[in-house]
Amino acid sequence: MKFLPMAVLVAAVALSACTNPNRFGDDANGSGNPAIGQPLNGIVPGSANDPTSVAYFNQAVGDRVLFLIDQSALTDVGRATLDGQATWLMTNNDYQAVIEGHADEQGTREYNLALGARRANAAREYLVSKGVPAARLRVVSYGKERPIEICSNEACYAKNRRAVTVLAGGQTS
Amino acid sequence: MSRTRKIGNIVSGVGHVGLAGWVLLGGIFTSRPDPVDVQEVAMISGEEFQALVDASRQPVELAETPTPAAPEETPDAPEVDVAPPETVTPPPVPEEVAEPAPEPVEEVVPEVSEAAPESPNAPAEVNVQDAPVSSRPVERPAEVVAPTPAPQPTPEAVQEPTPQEAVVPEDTGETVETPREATQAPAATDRIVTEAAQPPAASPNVSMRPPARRPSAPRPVETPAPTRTTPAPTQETNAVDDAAVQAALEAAMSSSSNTVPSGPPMSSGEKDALRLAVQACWNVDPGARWAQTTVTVAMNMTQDGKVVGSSLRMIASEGGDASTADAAFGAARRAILLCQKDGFPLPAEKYGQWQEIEMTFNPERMRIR
Amino acid sequence: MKFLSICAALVCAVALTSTAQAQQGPLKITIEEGIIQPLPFAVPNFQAETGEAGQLAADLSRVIAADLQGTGVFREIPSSAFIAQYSDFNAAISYPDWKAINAQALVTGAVSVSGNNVNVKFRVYDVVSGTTLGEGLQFSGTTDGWRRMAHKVADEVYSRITGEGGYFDSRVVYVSETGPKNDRKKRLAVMDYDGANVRYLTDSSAIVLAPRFSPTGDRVLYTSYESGFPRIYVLDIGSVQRRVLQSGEGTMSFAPRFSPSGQTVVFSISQGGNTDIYSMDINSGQSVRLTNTPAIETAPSYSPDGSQIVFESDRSGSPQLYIMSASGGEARRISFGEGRYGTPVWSPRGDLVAFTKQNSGRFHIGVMRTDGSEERLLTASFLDEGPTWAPNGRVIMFTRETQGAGGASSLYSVDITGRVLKQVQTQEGGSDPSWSPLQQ
Repeated sequence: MKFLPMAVLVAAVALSACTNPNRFGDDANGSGNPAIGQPLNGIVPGSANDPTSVAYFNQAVGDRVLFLIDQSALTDVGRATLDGQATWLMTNNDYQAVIEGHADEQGTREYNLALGARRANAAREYLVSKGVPAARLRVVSYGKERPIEICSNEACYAKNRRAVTVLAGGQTS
Repeated sequence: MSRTRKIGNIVSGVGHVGLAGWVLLGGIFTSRPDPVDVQEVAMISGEEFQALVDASRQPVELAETPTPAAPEETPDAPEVDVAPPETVTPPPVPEEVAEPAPEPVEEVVPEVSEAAPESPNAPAEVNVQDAPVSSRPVERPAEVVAPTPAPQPTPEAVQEPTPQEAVVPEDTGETVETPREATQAPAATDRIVTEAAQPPAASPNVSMRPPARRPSAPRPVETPAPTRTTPAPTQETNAVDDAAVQAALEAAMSSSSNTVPSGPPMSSGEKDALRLAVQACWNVDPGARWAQTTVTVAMNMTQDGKVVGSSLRMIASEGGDASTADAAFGAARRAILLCQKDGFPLPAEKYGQWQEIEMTFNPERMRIR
Repeated sequence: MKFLSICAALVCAVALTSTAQAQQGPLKITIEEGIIQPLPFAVPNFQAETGEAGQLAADLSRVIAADLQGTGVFREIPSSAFIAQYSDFNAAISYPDWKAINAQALVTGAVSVSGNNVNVKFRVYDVVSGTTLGEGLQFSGTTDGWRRMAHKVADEVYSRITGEGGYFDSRVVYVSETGPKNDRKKRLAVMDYDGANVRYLTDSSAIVLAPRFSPTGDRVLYTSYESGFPRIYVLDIGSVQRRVLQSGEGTMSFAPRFSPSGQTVVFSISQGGNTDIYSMDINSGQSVRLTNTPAIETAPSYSPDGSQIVFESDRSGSPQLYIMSASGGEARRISFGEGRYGTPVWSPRGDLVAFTKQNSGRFHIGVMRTDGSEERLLTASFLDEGPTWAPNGRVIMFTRETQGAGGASSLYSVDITGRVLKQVQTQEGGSDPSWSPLQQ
């Protein structure tokens, strides 16, 4: 059990390091500018330091899980991330989430749409099994339409095969 | 040498001796008055075939296919008010030039091929192999990955060069060792018979040409081979060419004759020469639907090896429908007319046997599926 | 031994005599091999019968020649090689002059313009036999539609020489693409088969995918994310009006195709992570589930008679092709080669299925017979996918995407022999082409 928080941390760091400036790489959803936020108990509301913020969810908890080639089964790392997401979602009940499933570019458009749906659903079912109400979670598949990494090798593909939990509907302050 | 091989040689030897003898006699037979039928057919057919051809061209299904006139609803689609059924009044000219007068067509052909022998794509002589199999300008050289991207007639391609091949001087002792591999005529059954049947004359080095082009110094017919001791297999390779020479000579000599000479049966070499000549111009589109249609084309020949243009007609088709048969016939007709040039290389002394020809064009091995 | 030899000699002799007798009729020859070459043709600029028709006559001739040349089955002989000067549609054809430059087919025509109306006449000649192929024909239309008239002439020429229908007077609907891979903008566009007359049908505010023509060519099915989720829309090309096909809350639907009748749509619904195939009556919205397995079933395509559906499923562990009745039920697998198969499309001739194949890190467009035999791969690249058939089943258009960060999509076509591969020019990048039927 000790390794768990560790894993989350590693994952979070890794992910925040590789985010891209587009919507699918880094959700703009509420990471406010810390400079103008009012420090409260040393925590800037809405910032990654605020455990109730979307930014915290995205970065500290980790908003995405990755998959192996052609797989939609969750990895251990993925499950750990989702555990964190479940905990966060149960704490922050105002949020709905849409889980986006993605595939790398190796595959036909149609098959990848279906594969992305499988991945998103795998994440959703896991969250539900951890107690997150199903009604708060929707899934959508983008197949290979929205890669975050654009090179054509495994380093990029590994990051593109993902299910991303995108929060919606909560307050950011 | 294996036992079977020995047997083969013996069989072959005996066969050849016997057959050569027969051939000698055959020469005698030739001089006898011929079976009459052949000639008559030829006489009749000129006119009749014309009629047939004309009739067969009437259908003009393509022209009648009315390109449907349909109102375009979509605003962006430019309106084409198709009024196609209106066939343009056939110009008096082109048809008349072409159809009613078979002769002009005939005359035209030699003229043209002489006038422009240099035209780049003019198929070379008889050499099928030289014909580029795919010189098509593919825009991207194409990563064609198909296991058999171009169903090219590989195996046969190797054997084709029958006529030119036989360079082996026959007195060389070695000839015995390489009896076969040089020329492997595709039709095994025909071959045995016909080869044996032809006069195994000596000079091996001559390639087959249209009779008209050969210097026509009449030579006495060579003494038949059987008197020699040369092992028979050797001669097989040369026989073809010998026959061709023979044919050429006799054609030159007998062209003025009134009778229709029939001569000994056509040798496989002679048939091959004709086949190769046509192949060199038979342009198959392997992806076309007509590549699934086999057509048989009949034609009458003049004594100098030319097709009587008006006699060319399709007598059978198999696979596909009427329009693919038309297209297949078109390709067959082009092959025949394009490659006849100054006349097909046919032995004049056997005119009786080829004054009518039926060619079956079977694209099965050319098509992609 | 002796006995054998005698026997052999006898056999020879017998065989001999029998052939000799058989020689009485016509000489029979069978031709089984030929050459494969583009057929040389000439299209001298059409005669301008009215003063203002000059440019149009030239343009029409060029488009006709380009159509024919583009098939790879024909090769144009440039006018610089001409001996005969063509100027009068009704004058006699000087066959020797055309033979001399090795033209085997000749297309002549005449154009007259009156106000906004154009009249085009043409004839096709078989130069080798010195005959016309079919009769002369004429089309009339408006000056705006001159390209279509050229395509119609070219279709007719193609059909007279090959004995099968053409595909030039057709259109292609596709996804026009701009922008980098991770922020690609996509919108629907329609164009002539040769890339001319592009028109955009949607904006790029939402991702749009895989448009498919209706059998009448007036409507398009496609998948759009405009609701935030992939849903199927049907769009009228003329009015650009669209409506969504309902497929139930919480579901995603995609990969639609029309049935040959145009009344039914077959497509995939993804729900709870599972993707199955459904069909829906396009008017009533009634849908029927055709597959029911935990596997992915998608990319369905009807047979031309509407009785069967070929689709892709990974029920065996990897994506493969299957055929089932149009009403669902048992499916039989037809793909057995190495690799993964997807996006099968039944050919309009009915005998072939085109598909995308992925094997050893490469993508291919291929065809196989509907029983899975005689698989042939026509292309290979980093990423080829999504074949669509020309209306005559002779050519396949597909998407080719290049590798790497700067990767971009474009449209390519290949004929079913695999010999003629070329890029289809589009203004922007292009993907997911769908070929219309021949226009009416």
